[in-house]
Amino acid sequence: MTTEPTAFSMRAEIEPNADGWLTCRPVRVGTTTIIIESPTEAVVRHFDALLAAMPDGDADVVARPADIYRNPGTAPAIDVRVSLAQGATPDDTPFELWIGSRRAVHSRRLWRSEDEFLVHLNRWALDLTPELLHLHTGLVERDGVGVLLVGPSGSGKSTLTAHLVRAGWTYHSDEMVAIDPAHPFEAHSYPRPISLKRGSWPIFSDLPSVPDPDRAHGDREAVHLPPAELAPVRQVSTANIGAIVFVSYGDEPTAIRPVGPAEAIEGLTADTLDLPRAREAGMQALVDLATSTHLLRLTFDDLDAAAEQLEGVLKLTPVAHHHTVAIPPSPAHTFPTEPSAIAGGSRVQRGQHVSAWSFGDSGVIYDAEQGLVARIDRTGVEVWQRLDGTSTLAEIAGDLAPDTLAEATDGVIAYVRGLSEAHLIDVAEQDS
Amino acid sequence: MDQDMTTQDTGARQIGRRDLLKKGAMGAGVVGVVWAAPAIEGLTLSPAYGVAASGGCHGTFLFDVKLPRPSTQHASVPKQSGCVGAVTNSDWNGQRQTVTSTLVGGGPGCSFTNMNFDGKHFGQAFFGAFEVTSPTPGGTTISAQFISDQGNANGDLGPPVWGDGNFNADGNNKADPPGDGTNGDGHGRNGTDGDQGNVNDGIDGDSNATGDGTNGDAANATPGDAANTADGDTGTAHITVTCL
Repeated sequence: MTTEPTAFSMRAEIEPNADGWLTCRPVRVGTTTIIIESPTEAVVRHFDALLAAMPDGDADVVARPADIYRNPGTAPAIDVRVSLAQGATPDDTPFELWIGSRRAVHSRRLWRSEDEFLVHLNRWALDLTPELLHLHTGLVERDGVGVLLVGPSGSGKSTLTAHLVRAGWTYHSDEMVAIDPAHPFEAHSYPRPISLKRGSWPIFSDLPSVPDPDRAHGDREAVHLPPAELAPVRQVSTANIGAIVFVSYGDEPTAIRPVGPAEAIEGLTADTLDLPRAREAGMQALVDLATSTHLLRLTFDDLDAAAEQLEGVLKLTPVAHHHTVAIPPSPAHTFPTEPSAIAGGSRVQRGQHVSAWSFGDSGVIYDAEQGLVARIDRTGVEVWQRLDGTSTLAEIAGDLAPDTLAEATDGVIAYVRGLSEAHLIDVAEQDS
Repeated sequence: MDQDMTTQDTGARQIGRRDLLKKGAMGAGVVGVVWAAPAIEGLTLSPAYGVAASGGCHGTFLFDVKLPRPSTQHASVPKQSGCVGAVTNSDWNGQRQTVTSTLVGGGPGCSFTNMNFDGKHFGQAFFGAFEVTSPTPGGTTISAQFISDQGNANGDLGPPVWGDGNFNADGNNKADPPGDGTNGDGHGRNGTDGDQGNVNDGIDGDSNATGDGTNGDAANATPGDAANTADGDTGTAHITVTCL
């Protein structure tokens, strides 16, 4: 969901606050208002531009010092005051970034304060909306279709996001989105400034904020793009997820291919930010996403070709919900055993805190206690479904492959030993 | 959503078996039943809270903070190590030096985990070790007291030496060549030490003057520790910060 383009950085006048400082447009993270203030108008305008796509905060809020650093995962009901001061002679005196009552940066280089502030902004976005599951992904939208861009740091997410936004896609985030487990297809935006790593600077060298990498300070790892440099700024709040694309920039020619739901869930799990907090509800949301959206893997060596592939994704027919079978945990805990002790006569049951989902030709097992996700194949799903503590492994093998019983029993034993090593099963009984 | 369905509720058992056998036969290129062994195709641990985010500051960072004893008995030395900064204050009261360091930057997962000290007190021609009282780690500030043990002076006496700024950090009290008594002597000799162009003005980054040349790094370099060591009392606080 977006609103019409606005131009926050073009405020004609910035009125000083009661302390005589100039104040940026208040922005909101969760229900918390972030207030940035500085005696220097150029600084205020710069941060206004950086945060132009963030939602409005409460203009009347009285900000108090924030100290949420020591308590990750908590969500204090406070509003955050960020102060950026510079001495009277800017050429000689440093910037000081104060976050609440704590000096966070003391440096001549404003980009150090930018870096630090945005790290904190990420953290606030995570801490202040504990009811949501957060994914370390990008999100762009076009024609009402939201596309999650998933990949580890360095995979090209932000570079591709910036390229797509310049090509007309709506920007929602290059870093993090949040989903409500009760409504997993609606992604909550986090439109912070896009952060481009040094290697991408030559691609965007025409943008005012992008420095010449040969002349920039050696410590500077990323530049943060005011969104208006890429496209007219739109305030955004949510997007309906139509596709999840795992991106990887490299030497391979640009190509896109489908991904199975189990593989997608495994990939998404690795890029969750707070699955230990969301636990089963969060994993169920990932399962819902992975069974109701297009799942694709995009390798690219060319941004235009990658954008063309993603344009094609928009034309795909919406996905009908995949058939999914939830396999419940065992109702009672028995006891674990040494994997090597597991034999054909063992009666094994699924772990007490272990949920699983079958997608037909694959499945995932999720242990909320360990935060562990195992991706299993079709036969693995069949065996897992039968691990209810009533049948021996040899009986399960016989049920699945009566004509090759010995080989099947060996295979089932090896598989179950692997599950045991991952602490995903209990052994209910050992036949002699 | 079928999340309430169980294995027993569905036809998955029958469908799965038939498909399994068919798949196995096709895979083997033969007519008949071929077993396709079950497999765990991947194991993934969900990251701990907040870990996957980019832009954070993670790891262990070491600070060696040279702490002079200026005439005001107070010194404040900011220093940067990687993505973490710390401002370390030193206050002298007689033979007792209180050192307090405060984190600057680094992000929410960072905290002090250790502080130690090398130094000597020779402003009165005594050489001795420093007793280190235990600092309390784990927060965004860390504090310790270092007490000059003049009573246990080891006889390694010599003329008071000051001003060279090239203090011993190893505690053997022997390696210091006498200075000429003027401030800043060490500054020139240790010209490769970036701190000397950096720490005294408290501005991070200057020592890494990799040099766009436009930021006035060289011009901003100010005299370093050596300029403040004229009375000879000095030492180095070794501080460890860990960022999760």
